[in-house]
Amino acid sequence: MSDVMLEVKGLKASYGQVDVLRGVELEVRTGEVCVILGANGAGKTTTLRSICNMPIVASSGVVKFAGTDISKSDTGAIVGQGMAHVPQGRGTFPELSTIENLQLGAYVRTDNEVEDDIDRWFQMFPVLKDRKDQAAGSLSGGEQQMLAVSRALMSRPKLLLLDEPSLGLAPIIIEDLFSTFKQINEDEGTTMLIVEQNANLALSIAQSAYVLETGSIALSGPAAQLRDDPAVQEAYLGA
Amino acid sequence: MTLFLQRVIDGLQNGAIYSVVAIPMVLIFKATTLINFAQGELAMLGAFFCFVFAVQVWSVPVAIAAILAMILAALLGMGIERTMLRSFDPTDHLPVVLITLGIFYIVNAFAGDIWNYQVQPDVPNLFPFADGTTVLMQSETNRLGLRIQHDSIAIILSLLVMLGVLHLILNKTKMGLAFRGVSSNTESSRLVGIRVGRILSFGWALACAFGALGAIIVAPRIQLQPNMMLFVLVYALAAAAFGGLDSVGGAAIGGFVIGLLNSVVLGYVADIGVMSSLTAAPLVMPVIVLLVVLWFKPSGLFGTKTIERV
Amino acid sequence: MPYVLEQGSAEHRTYRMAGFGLLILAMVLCGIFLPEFQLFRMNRAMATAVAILGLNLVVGFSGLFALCQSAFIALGAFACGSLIVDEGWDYWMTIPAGMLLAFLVGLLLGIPALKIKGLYLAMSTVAFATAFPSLSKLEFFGIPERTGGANGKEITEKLIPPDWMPIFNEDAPDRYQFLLLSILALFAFWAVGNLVKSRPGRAIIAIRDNEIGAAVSGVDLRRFKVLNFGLSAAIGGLGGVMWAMNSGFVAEQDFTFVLMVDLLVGLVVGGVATVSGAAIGALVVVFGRWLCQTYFDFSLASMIWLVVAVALAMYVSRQQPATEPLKKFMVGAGVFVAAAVAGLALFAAVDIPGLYQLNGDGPLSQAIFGFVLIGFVFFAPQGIVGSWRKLWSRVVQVRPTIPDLPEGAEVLVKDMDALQTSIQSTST
Repeated sequence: MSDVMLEVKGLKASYGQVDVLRGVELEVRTGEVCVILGANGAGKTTTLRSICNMPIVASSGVVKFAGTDISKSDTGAIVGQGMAHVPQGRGTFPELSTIENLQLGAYVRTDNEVEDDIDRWFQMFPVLKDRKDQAAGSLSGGEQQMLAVSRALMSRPKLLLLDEPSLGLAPIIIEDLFSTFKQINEDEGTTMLIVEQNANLALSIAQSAYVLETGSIALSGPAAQLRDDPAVQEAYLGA
Repeated sequence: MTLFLQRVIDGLQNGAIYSVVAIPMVLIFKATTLINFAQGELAMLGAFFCFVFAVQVWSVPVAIAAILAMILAALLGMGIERTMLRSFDPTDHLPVVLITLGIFYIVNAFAGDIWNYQVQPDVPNLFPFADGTTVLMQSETNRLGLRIQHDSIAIILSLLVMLGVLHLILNKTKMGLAFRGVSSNTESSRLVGIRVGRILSFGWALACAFGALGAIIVAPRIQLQPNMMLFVLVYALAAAAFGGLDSVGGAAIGGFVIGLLNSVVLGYVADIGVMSSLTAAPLVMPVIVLLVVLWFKPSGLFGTKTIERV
Repeated sequence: MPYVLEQGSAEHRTYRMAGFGLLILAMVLCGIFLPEFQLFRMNRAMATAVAILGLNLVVGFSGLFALCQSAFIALGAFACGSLIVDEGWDYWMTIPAGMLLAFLVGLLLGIPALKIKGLYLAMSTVAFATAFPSLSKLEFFGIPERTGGANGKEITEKLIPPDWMPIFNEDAPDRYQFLLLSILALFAFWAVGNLVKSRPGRAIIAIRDNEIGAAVSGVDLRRFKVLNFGLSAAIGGLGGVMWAMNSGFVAEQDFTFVLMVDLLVGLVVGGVATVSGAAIGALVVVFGRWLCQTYFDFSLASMIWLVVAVALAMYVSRQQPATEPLKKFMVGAGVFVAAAVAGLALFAAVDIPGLYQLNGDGPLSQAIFGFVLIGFVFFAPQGIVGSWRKLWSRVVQVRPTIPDLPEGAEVLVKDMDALQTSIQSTST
């Protein structure tokens, strides 16, 4: 497999008349955890949506996923090629049961190990197993986040995009969540691109990081380096 | 007592007819959050397709004609969705309401033109043993003496069978799961790899096929003519709202409830006086039901709360 | 280069007078030169125009799906018929009576409309409009006697010219009715035109464009919505009385859901949220039907097949890359020819007489209206009036006056011209 899992060049995006991204460039190497930091409105969610070519945003530029140009591909096709996206706000199917949510996660798969995977995620998140026939909308915020992540992983993706996973969750849960991310990255080798406002925790599990400001990359580099950068500290780490 | 039971049976049978148009509307609403005002007309067209295959032009056995008609109706529905409705933002309702009304006009006019606004005497009947009035349960004639027509039972049973099949499709197949996913959260469906466009087509195809089959089954009862579904539409809207616009089972129950209300309640209100015929003044009742339901509980009996934001 | 007029200037006033004068001239010419049977139709068109005006007030300007205008027309017409025949009233008194009746029913319906939104309101009003003709046959309070039940009611006193107007022929009252109905219609249009520009009018439009914004700015939404419903119903009632005045006969079969859809067609074709659009739309609907029924005599099935073939050809050719226009055209033409041939073959194989002949007058015009409705939604959603305004604004433009700014205020808009053009195109 090539060294670079995701390559983004000259990504521009807009919602109607409003330009949000003005030429974003980034690179995510295979097997690493990469973090995008930025304030509200910087364009972090838009970046993830544009990578997946979601119809909600009009985007242009070059996006290469595992060597293949996906700039003009359909979202469904992109998912089929091994990318999974956990959107902001979890994006569960609220009326469907927990287990149905997981089954949908495996929609693109044609093998017969789906049940095994479901059991696996139930093992990692026992609370989901307890609520397996409950409507997903009735789960708590943290449980829904676990469900959303599990659902995304059900497709056995090569690259996992996560949009502000800590949003609305209690600090203890967030810590558990991020250590789970780290574990998954280490055990499965899943490449991760995480968009976060909670910079400290995100940087602690990442290898590389980008800072997005009003639609373009302002800073980039190894996570440790950005962590020690005084500008980043002041703006995002509350130092 | 006999009169009451007779009314109950009539009500259930009428209710089945309303459900037959209500259920496809709910299917389309689930998939797209749109109301298809042309649903009744498309079902009517399906019944006429069957007529063409089985009686008017060729003499195909009725069951096969019905299947062909269902396929044609499904294709038509898919075509309409793809070409006319998909390009519109589902949150802007006006264009879609206008387009489905336009289709209503065109389909109604087309049928009226080709087949005249006359009742067709030779209606293909899926249940050839339904030969008019028979007294059921001979042994209990003196006690119950009910007059139940065989096709009433056939209609009610067929509806239940169709519901069962629909339930299986929606809950036990992958397509069905994807359909429920799209209905629940379209954006996440995309993120899971579902081709939303294909699922929408699937939804419309299913709805139109179901509607056509339903119309074929009830045609012998309510007469095959181009305006057969005009009033049924009103009852169907009420049934769908009553049951909850995104609940298929709810629409079925809604249909039966409204049929029963129509037959039993109105039957006893002597002033209004007109009986449970589909073309008489009791159209008032579904309008009242609609207003009451949508005022007090817009999500209906079994719908999910989220549809209130429509 | 468009000729620019300052709003409120003397030039502008002359421009408006000229426009109005042209309108009056056109109507006078119609009144003098059109034959009687066309005037009958013109009268029907004016009643329809007033009805569409009312419909526009709710659907166009307010954005609410009140799809039951046909019921309000019926109310006005039945009121007129019953008051004249059963109570011995005079035609003129039935106008306020019919409007009041419709207004009250409209208010009643407006109350549930407060809570029932969007598609649900559409469902409810469609149901109501479809059920209304049946309502007029309900054996309650002697309703069928008043409405004529299933057979309709002849208004025995026709609207005929009085003796002191010798220019009008008593045996051919359509011309006289044209005069009266024109005055009524002009008055209605003038009133609504002013309403839309006034403060309450702005409030109504604000409800459509931004409900939350309107509420925050202090607009009492509930009161306005309900009043709006009532008002639009009252105008519909006026249209109904005009209808009865013209035809002298009221029957429930005239006020079915088909009338409702016709009104919508008129609304969309004329121009949603425009005052003059109602008149244009009414002319199209009434005379369109007549033209179709009189002159068009081709097979409906063929027409539908052709339209579908054209649409299919356009759809397929649009899928082709835009860089190869010749290929696009060939593909489109090819699809069309294939579809046409398939159609011919199909019609030949299937021996249904209805495919070749036209069965009666109704279906063809109905189908054409359906296509027109869909066509306008797709290609000209702003209607004839909206499109005309865009074109005309290249010839003459009215520049709205900027209100006097307080001392020291700065105008922050960079492109005043563009702003003024956009303001103009959203006015009535």
